[in-house]
Order: sequence, then C-alpha cells, then structure tokens
Amino acid sequence: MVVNGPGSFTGIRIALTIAKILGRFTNAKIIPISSLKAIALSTETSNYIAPIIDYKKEKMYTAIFDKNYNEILHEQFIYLDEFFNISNKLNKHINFVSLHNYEIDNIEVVKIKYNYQNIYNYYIKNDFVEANDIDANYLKEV
Amino acid sequence: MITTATLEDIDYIFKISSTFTDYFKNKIDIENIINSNIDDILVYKLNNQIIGFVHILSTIDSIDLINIGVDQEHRNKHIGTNLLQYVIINNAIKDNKNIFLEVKETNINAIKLYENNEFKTIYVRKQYYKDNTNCLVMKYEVGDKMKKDTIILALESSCDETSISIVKNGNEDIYSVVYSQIPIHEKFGGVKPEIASRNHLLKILDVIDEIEEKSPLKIKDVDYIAVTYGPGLTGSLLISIEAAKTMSYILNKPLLPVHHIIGHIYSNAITSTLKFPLIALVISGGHSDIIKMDEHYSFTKIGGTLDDAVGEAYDKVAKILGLSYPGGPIIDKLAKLGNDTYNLPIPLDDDSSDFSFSGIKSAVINLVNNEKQRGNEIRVNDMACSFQNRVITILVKKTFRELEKHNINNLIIAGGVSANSTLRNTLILKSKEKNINLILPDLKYCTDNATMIGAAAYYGIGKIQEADLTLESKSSESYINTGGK
Repeated sequence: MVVNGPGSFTGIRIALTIAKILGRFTNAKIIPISSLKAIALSTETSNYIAPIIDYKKEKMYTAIFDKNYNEILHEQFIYLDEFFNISNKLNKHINFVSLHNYEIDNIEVVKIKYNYQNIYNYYIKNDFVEANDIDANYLKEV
Repeated sequence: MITTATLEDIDYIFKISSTFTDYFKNKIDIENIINSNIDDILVYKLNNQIIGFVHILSTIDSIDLINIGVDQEHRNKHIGTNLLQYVIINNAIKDNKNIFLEVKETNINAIKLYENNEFKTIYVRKQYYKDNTNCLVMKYEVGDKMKKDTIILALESSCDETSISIVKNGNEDIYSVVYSQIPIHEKFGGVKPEIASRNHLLKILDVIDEIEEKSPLKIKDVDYIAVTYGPGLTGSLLISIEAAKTMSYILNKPLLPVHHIIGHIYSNAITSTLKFPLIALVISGGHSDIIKMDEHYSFTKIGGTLDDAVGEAYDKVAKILGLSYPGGPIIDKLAKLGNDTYNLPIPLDDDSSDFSFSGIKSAVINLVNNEKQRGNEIRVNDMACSFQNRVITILVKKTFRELEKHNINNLIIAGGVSANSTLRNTLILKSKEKNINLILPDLKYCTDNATMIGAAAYYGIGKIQEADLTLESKSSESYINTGGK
C-alpha cells in the first residue's frame, strides 16, 4: 500500500517510484492510498470528517468523509472560506483532523496519528493496481 | 576511495591500522614498504579516514597478497571486497598476473571473502603456524579474466531527460533509452522543475520496460547499478535515485553514485580511449570549466566562469532574439546563415584562464534595444553569428593557451555545448594546426544520457564510494578534485 497523495509533491514521487519498482521487480501487489482518507480512517467519530493537509496561506488539501468513509465532498485543494461556503450548506457537524498541529481561526483541528490497522483493513478490500498504472494524485496543476 | 599510500600517510596508517591489526610492528615497517619498488600499500579512505588497507608485493610473474585489513567498525560493508577487486582489476588483470595468498585455515571470514572473489585453495600447508593450524594457499587465476566483462545499468534524470542504459566495459552502449521532455518545456522557454519531476515519474517504468524488452543483456545480468546523484534539479534527480536504490536493494547489486559532469566528461570514453594528462573543456548550461586530468577521476580546475555559464548565455541571448529553448542549437543553426557584422566584444579577453559570459549577453541586449529605438530591424542571423563567433573565439583561445602552458597535448570537450558544430569544427582545425590529440564526444552523447553515466561509473569502480539506501540527491556538489564521491 502506498500513499499517492495529496501532500508534498516530492514525498509522493519518492514513495511512488519505490512502489513502482517494487511492483515491477517483485511479486508485490500495489494498492494506492489517499492521504486524506487515511487520516479519516484514523479518526473515531460519528460526525463528518474533514482531514487537513498542508494548510498554508488560507489554503489546504481537504475533503469531507462520512462515518463510513464515503466521500461527501471530493478531495481538493481549496481556500478555507470556500470550503466553509460548501460545508455550511451540509448542515452537519464536521470534525477537523490533521497529522499536524494547526491553529486555524474559528475551527478546532484535532491532531491524530495514522491508525495503520484501520487503514489496512479498509484498503485491503480494494483492487490491486498495476505498477505502471499508479499515478500521483497531486490535486494541483503546475 | 582507494589510493596508493604515500609517505604522508605513514602516521595515519600506523595509528589506524593498530586499532584493528598488529601487522605493522612500527612506522619503519610501513615506510619501507612504501619506499619499496615491489611492495605497495593501498588504502581505502572514507571521508579522508583510512578504514582499510591491502599490502601487495608484485613479482615478475605474480602478485602476493601479504595482508588485508578493515577497521572493525566498517566490516560487512564490502570494503574488503572493494580492495580485492581493486587489486584484481588494476594489478592482476591489467598486468596479467595471478594473485597468491596464505591464510589460516581457522580464519573463516577471510577465507569466505577470498572465495567470494574467486580465489581458490591450491594446497594446504599442514601445521604451518606456531599454533599448529594449517595454512591454505589460495590463488586468483587471471586466465581468461582479461576478457571478463563488467556490465553496468545506468540511470539519469537530473534535468529534462529520463534515460537508462546498459553499458559494457565502459565503452559499449548495449542498449539505451532517452525520453526527452524538450517539447514539453519548449513553450516555457526553459525547464520547469515541477513539470520535469512529474514527467520523470510518468516515464521511469516505461524506459525500464523498454530496456528490459529490447536490450540483448538484461537487467539481471548487470554487475553494478549506477545513477546520477547530482548536480541537477532535486525533484528530477530523486526519481532515478529512488529507482536505482530500490533496484539495487531488490536485485542485490552494488550502487555507484555518479556526478553528472563527470558523466559528461566520460562521454568521451564511450567512443575513444582517454590519454592522460589531458585538458577537458566542460561547457554546459551550468559549467564553463577548464579541467586538468592527470589520471582517471582526477579533476583539477584551471579556469571557470566568473558569472554565467556558456550554455546559460546561449539560452539568454536566444530569448532576447525571440528564439526557442534551448538556445544553443538554434543559434548555431542561424549563425551559419548570417554574417559577423555586429560589433560585440570578446568576453574577458585577458591573461586569466577564466571566462565571463554575462557581459556579452548584456552587450547583445543593449545592441538590440538601441537598434529597436532607432527603428532598425535586428538581423537575427547576423547577431547569432556575431555572438557565437565571440564566444567560440575566447573558448578556443583560452583552452589552447592552457594546453600550451601545461605542456599537454590531449584535449576533450564535454557538456551540452560540446554539440555546437561551429565549435567542433574550429577545434578540429586548431588541433590539427597545433598537433593536439582532440577527442569529441559523439553527438548523441553530448546531451544528457545514461550511457555516459555508465561509462563514468565503469572507470570509477574502486574510486567511487559505493552508496547504500541512504543515498540522497546533491543539487550543487562540485566534482573538482573530489575523486568522484
């Protein structure tokens, strides 16, 4: 299992290069993982979950997942205020979670650690992907 | 890296070796060996510290391996193997001599090391040692080893080319793939690092699959994996580095990190044999160096650029003239259609061995602006011709002055700008006139490619420090007098 994004571009590429080569030269099967969903999978709540990655200058990678980890708002790179415009319409309580400490106005961000067991149990049901078919999920054009 | 010990090393060898062997009784022992014509001590240095040595004695028809030792802390890191292989390649195979050694039958680790390096026990001397243990006499048979091939898989992705190559004996390009991103970056007028990195990731498996499918020698056949570790764009370098590390780990092949510019220098060794001492004119988008090489992997800088590199100047002038990226090939092409009519200065035409290309770039800008203000049209071909002539004039003039000054008659050129046809023709004529032995890299090896990295790695065996999985990119490391890495 390998995280293919979103997050640090260089970090994603290092992990994917290693995974591609392992996939090609060993019998290893590959399952790509979303960094955002991995955070959601590590969060215990019955509310909606909004994982936050790389919050900078009012922008962040995020998504909204329900308690069954279905995507309510698809993964994207978005301004915080635009995110609120969307999330307020959902009329649901949202738990903000991250792997890092973030001080963001008006919201409480809970710092969590990856729960590898939960992530594994969820993703092991997914289909394997061929080594040439794993793509980086940058979510940002250049 | 491995070097022959000199008198300056005596204190150090004694101090260090006494921590892991009592083989040298005193410093005079070491001094005698170093001064002797038939004995040699080779030392393995890591960060300038001696961590291993081998003592050999060359007779007229064989080599006796008297002793070999590796620092306690650095065992199981192939240091012993590296020292043995160095002796095998540089002494045994080169001079066609077999190697003999004696070892205690109880020294299992040493015997294993020798056996792994193709030494065979030829007889046993019973109760040879004071403690009544047997002595094994082992032999390394050169035989047809002179024909033993060294196959290297090389990867290169330091800028905008994703390249992989299988190279035999440093000079045979068995198969290579170069995927160039130039069409992608052309529209930006330069390489966009993030776009380059993304494309390397997209292409890395494709180039690996192509070489595995089409090369007559397969990846499993290689003896080493070599990779460019720098300089270059960090994000781009990392794709090849991570791929090479992972392959080295899975396939259990030693990993040789290669400096990109040393790769360019050794592109000359793919098609010709380097003769030393030589002067290398290293000209690319990042370098404009005059280098003296007394032997393989010895790089002494004689001159360099004080500001812009020559390739950089070509790119900038091309931009001013509204031409495409990269600037070198297009200026070279248009220059042939134009005449040398513009009054540009010869850049840094002085007694020094350095270059400066920022001034001539500014001169072109000023000329272009002045002409525009006067309402005159710029004759692009004439400007390309005038600019190129000045640049080549100074490159050739200073290079040949250094050849003469150092009494050297071997010249090579390296780097992207070495593809410039006018420069090549000028150098050919001038070399003929001055009786200089000139080597020009094949045009297909002038731009970035993995074959040159494989060639550089081959000549770097025993000189380059093998890398492990902690290898990182170095975006701006110098290659001067580093002896590789």
